[in-house]
This record gives sequence, structure tokens and C-alpha cells, in this order.
Amino acid sequence: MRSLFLKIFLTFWAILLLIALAFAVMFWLRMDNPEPRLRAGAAAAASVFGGAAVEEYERHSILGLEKYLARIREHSRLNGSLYTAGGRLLAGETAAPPDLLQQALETGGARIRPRGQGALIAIRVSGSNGASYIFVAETGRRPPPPPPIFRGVPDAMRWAIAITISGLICFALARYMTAPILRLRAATRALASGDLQARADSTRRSDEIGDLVRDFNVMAGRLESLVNSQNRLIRDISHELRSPLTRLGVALELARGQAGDAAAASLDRIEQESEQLNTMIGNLLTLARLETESSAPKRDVVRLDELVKAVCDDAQFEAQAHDSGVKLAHCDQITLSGDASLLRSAIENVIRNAVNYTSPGTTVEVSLKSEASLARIIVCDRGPGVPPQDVQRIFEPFYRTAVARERTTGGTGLGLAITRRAVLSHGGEVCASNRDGGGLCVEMTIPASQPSDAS
Amino acid sequence: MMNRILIIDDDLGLTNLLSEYLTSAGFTVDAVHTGEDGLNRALGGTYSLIVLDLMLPGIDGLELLRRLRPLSRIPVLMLTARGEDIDRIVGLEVGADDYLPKPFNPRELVARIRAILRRAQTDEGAPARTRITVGDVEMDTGSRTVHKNAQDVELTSIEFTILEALLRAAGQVVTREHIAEVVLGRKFFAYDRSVDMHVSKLRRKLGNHPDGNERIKTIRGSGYIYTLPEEAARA
Repeated sequence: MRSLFLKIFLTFWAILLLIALAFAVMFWLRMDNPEPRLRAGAAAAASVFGGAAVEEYERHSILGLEKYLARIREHSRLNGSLYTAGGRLLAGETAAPPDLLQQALETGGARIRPRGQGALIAIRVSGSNGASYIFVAETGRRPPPPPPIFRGVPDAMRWAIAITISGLICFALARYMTAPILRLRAATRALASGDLQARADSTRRSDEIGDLVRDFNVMAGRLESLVNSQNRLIRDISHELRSPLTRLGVALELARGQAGDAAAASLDRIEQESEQLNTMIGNLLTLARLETESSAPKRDVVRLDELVKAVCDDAQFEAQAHDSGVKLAHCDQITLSGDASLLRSAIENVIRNAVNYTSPGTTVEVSLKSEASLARIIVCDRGPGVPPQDVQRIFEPFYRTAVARERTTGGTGLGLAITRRAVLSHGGEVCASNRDGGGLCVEMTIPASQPSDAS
Repeated sequence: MMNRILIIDDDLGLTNLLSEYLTSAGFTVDAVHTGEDGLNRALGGTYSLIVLDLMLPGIDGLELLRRLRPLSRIPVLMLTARGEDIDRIVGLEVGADDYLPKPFNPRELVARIRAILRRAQTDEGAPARTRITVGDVEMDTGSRTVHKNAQDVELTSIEFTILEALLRAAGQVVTREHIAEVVLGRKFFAYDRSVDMHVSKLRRKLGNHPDGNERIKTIRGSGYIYTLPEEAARA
């Protein structure tokens, strides 16, 4: 029972049915043991009828007794019989067990014993000549007449109706209690997946659940404005940084014209560094955009194998110049839907990173495999690797290994962070591990809606 | 007259620097800082080219261009700090002649201004063209355009200059140091990957030779070579 709705519904229903059952059992037990008052009333009535019956018998013999019994049967619906003290039936139709008669004779009071739908009442009556008789009356059970709509409805059907109605009531009650919680959950999930505008349906309920929904909405609103202002800040900063950078570039060229050759090397360096700054700002903007749009990348049909081939081809071309290489070891045909340029930069960043770090004379190995409904891209280099404790930190913005700090690799420190965000936004995962024999392997898995059989 | 340029940008510091730089490059420069002023000047003055910033107070760059185009065919080079593709596409659709994201290399700006002006000139019927043809690729250094199989290939200014150097030395090795110094105008650094990146992009845009052979090859540790197509090599 994982659902709250089901829990509430079944619990209520079970409780309701248990209560009904308890009442039924109690009622039945009370029928079984008539109360002393009822017993006294029955005894009094039996003694009156019994006295009259004995008088009739003594005065008019059997015939009079039978007439009297027939009369009370007709008027009072009481089935009476008269026995002698010896237990011989004088008249009447009740077959009283001998031990009941014996008990009535000995105690002198009324004995009541349930029988069938009703009960047998036995009482000792003394005659005028001192002889003892036993009068036995059988009462038919007369339950209160059922309401007109239930008249003629069998018991099983009544139970079924009761269970159904109680079930419906419990269903409505459980529904009433859990519906806002379900809506709240939907909104929470939407919020968690990056839809900052998600709000729960604001109900008019004034109870605790209503309060919870309103509090959630307040929280979501606050979260949205915080995240938005944070991202706006990053965007604005990045954007504003580009204006001075543009001016710097123009001023640099002016300086180049005015300074002699002596300053050329320094000016070249300034230009290179400002280009680096600009790349970094661009990456920062991309990352900020990805953080906010995490839930909805563009949906193009992307031929992942062609994309990986193209990136490898470019990287191989560039790596050759540095005496290293890129080899596409395995390439399954995979089509998936996603943002082509985002996926391209995700893969490109990883491969470029590997090319930057792999030792001269070694080859970066890339493979694209189709596994079930997953596309797995593995990029392995023969570089210095990463300290084991930091291996997952390489996807954090601006994380750099000691090696990376020592030599100027030209990276911005944001490439792998962008890769991670881009892969996450496609519902995938990325992880890194050190390789036997030195080097680093980065593995990206992305769900592919259409596995290898793409045409 | 041919060299009067109007800069419309709200960044005063930048317009001052740009005015100085473009003046030293031989242009006459006026600068205004709002869209309204820009539109009036553009319509009233006798400029040969407008450098237009996209983000302006009041009338923004796109709106200005939209109002200007029905009235004037003056060449417009657009600047934007956003660098988003969408601006580029909209800008070119509305009628900008070229587009440059901020921050830009001022040398590239001058190269593009000259290219636009030369194109405008040739349109007016003053052919001063140098053509380099290697196989299916034809380069016009005057209008700074490249055609492959009579189809236009869109190149950045740097890619164009690299291709020019490679085509002029087709069949021979061009060193990376040479490209860095001549094309990018600076000394080559050991870990500078920008030459490789530019050549890589150029290679992607041009593709292989029609016979499937590689068009641009890497010579390990040295540089690049633009390979001659088969028939040209045999001839």
C-alpha cells in the first residue's frame, strides 16, 4: 500500500465495516440472552396465561383448555401448551424438552430458552386442588418491519448495499483529503525538475492542508525570484564584462600602433589573455542559461554517431599537429532527440579536454556504444589522470588539477561543467574514472529514445 | 567621401576609442549615442557605412535598421554583445550587411568594413578583383568572398585570411608560426590552439575534395598544406 489515498480509503472503510460488524454481533448476542426485564415480563405474561389455562382445564377439561389455547394463539400470537407435573402434554403444539419442564417444576420461576427464531418460556402453575402444571409458551420472533424500500430485499443484498455506500463515502473522504496532496506533489516534482513557475492549485480550504499548499506556493515564489535574480546577475555581469573587454581590444590595437616592436610580445600576451577572458564569459553565459533551462532542451532529431564522428574528425585534425591522435574505436548508429548544438559542445568539451591532457605520442580513444535504450560515449586519454579523491570534482566549475594549474592548457575551467549540465538536461549521466596504466576515462550515458535501428 | 563611417553605439568609451582607431586606419568617423540621433544622421548624412550596435536606448538597433532599410541602401555592420544566433539571423534578415559579436578584434572590424565597402564599390561597377582559383574553390580577394562549385561559402575574416595564405601556397606547407604571425598578427605560443581551431573550422566548412581526398592536411609538428586536386596535380 504505497498510496496515501489507498491507505486512508481502506482504513476508513475497514473501520466502518468493523463497527457495523461489532453492532451486528452485539445485537445478535442480546437476542441470544434476553434481558432480565424482558425475562420478567415474559414470566409475568406466561404466569397469567398459564393460570387462566389451568383454570379452563380444571373447569372445562381438555376441550376448554384447547379452546383457550386456540384463542390466545389467535389474539396474542402465543403458542401455548400445558403439561402435567409429570411432563405429560395435555394440550398444545410446543414440544418442550423434558429437562426444561423439570427445571421449571423445580425452580418455580419462569425458564426461558431460545429456540429457533424465538424462545420457549416454561413456568409452573398451581391448580386449585394443589396439583402442579407446567405452562409452556413459544414466542415467535417479530423483528421491526423493515423500511419500505428494503421490503423484500434479501439480507445479502442489504449487506452489499451497506458496504457499497460506506465504500463510496470513504472514497469521497479519502479523495477530499488526498487530492490537494497529490496536486502539491505534482507541483513539487515540476519545481524540482527546474520548472520554477510551478505552483500548486491554491485551494479555498482553510485547514492545515490548505495552509501547506499556500506555504508551498510562497516558497516556490521566493525560490523562483532568488534563482532568477541569481541568473540575471550572472548574465548581467557576463554581459557587462564584455563592454570593457571590447574597449580593451580597441585600446590594445591603438597601443600596438603607437608602441614599437619592443612591446609587441607583451601586447600579444594581453590580447591572448583577453580572448581567454571572453571565452570564459561565453562559457559562463552558456552555463547560466543551462542552469535555468535544465528541464527543456530543444528537441531535434540528432544522429549521435555522425556528431561524434565529426567531433572526432576535427579533434584528430587538431591533435595531429601536437603529435597525438584521436581514434574512434567503436561507433554504433544512434539517433536520439535533443539539442544538437548542446550535445555537440558536451562531447566536444570532453574530447578536447582529453586531447589537451593526453601525453605526446599517445592516442585518445573514443567509443560510442548503443546499450539497451542508452547511448554510451567513452573518451579515454593517456594523460596524468586525476587524484582519486577528486575524480568526480572535475565536473565542477573551475576545478583544476595541479597539472592543469602548472601548465597553461588554454581551458576556461567550465568545459566539463557545461558537459555535465548538457548531459543532465538530456536525462543522462556523466562520470569519470582513472584508467589502468595512467590516464582518465570520461563516460557519458544518454537515454536514446530510438536505439540502434535508426535509419 | 568613400571613407565616412557613422558609429551608433551608446558606449561612449568605445566610440571614442573606435573613432581613434578607425581614423588611424584612414576613415573619417562620426559617432552618435542614441537610436533617434543615429536614424537622423544615417538618413541625412553622406556616409559610406554604418557601424550599428544592437542594444541602444530608445530605438534599438533592429528597429533602427527596420526603419532605415526602406529609405536607404547604405551598408550596415551590426555589433552585438549578446552573440546569440537569433540576433544574427534577425539582423541579417532585416538587412544588415555583416555582423560582429562583441568583443571583436578591431583588425577584424576594419577588414570587414573594407570588404563591405569593396563589395559596394564592385557593385557600382569598378572591378578591382584578384581571383585565386584552385580546383573547385574560387576566392575573390577584392570582395572577400569564397565560392565552392559556384556556391557561396560563409567564412569569418580570419578564416578567409588563413584560406588565402593556404591557397596562395597550394601544394606547399604553410607553417603554423606563419599563420599566427601573418593572419592573427601575433607571435605563436606553444599552447595556443587558436590557429588549429580556425583551420579546423575552415576545413569543416570546405569539406574534402570531390574525389574524397583530404583538402587540408596537417603536417605533424610543422603546419598545414592545401592539397592540390588530382587533375591539377597531374596537369
